[in-house]
Amino acid sequence: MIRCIKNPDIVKATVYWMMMAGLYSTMGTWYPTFFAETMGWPLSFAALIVSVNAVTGIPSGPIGGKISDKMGSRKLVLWVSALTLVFAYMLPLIIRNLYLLIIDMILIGVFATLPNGPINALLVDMVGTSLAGTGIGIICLGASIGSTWSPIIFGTLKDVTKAWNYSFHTLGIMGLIAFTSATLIKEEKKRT
Amino acid sequence: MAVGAVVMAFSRNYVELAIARFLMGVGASLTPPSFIAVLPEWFPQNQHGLILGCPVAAYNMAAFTAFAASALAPLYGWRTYIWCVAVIPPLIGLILSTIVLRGRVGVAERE
Repeated sequence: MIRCIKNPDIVKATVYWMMMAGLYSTMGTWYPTFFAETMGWPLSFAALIVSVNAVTGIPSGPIGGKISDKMGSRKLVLWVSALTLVFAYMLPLIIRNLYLLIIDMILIGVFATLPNGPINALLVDMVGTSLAGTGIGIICLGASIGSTWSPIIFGTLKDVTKAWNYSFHTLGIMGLIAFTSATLIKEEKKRT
Repeated sequence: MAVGAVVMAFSRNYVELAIARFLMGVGASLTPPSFIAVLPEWFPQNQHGLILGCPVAAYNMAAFTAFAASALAPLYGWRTYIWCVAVIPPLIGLILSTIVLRGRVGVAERE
């Protein structure tokens, strides 16, 4: 376990997954309320629109893994997803059109689940199969911390500032942290 | 998770419900590291991305059971569904650990 924690690339992958999980959890927690408040939709309809991302996320997990297998690079999928999500998570702040918002939810669903396969595979590449369980446990711990605190920070900012802008900017910052962590990961290029 | 579900099915107040949810959370969080540790041993490195991405698709598909449960809950009561959680996942776990894992070990031994 200590070997895993001391590995700087595991730390970077954990930070990445912490931010990504935090972003996704914040979306699930706050977007329906945000849409209900700003668009005037019933909360059930707003939740339905947000849940579109769960459907589009079904094929993208295996597809993201397949892309990383074909390209021989795991982190490329990670940083492309993070960069796309920086914009996708912040777009609801400026979009006021139902269809565009649905497209945005589809994008979020695709790019939030795209890195799942590559990040787990990257971890196995880093520590080998014998320590994969420990490494993935550490990453999952980071994800749990991110998904617990991110919605709280988002909501607190909303309450303190009485506006949604600052909360959404936090999502952008989190996406950029994920992007930076992914680009800093050193991966083994050679594949068997 | 099954123990947590049983506790939840019998819960009478908020504290018991919170304890049950905690137990279920512990059980659920143990699952991903264990199967993600097992899967790479069965497949070559150039298939790890695909293989480790498949459980995510399964998670998202399983989320639709929540819709079914919420639609049918008024008919049978929420405790009925929690009993399903107490019974179905351990059964699946048992099937996986006996049939799938042993079958795979058998294949590996023959190879």
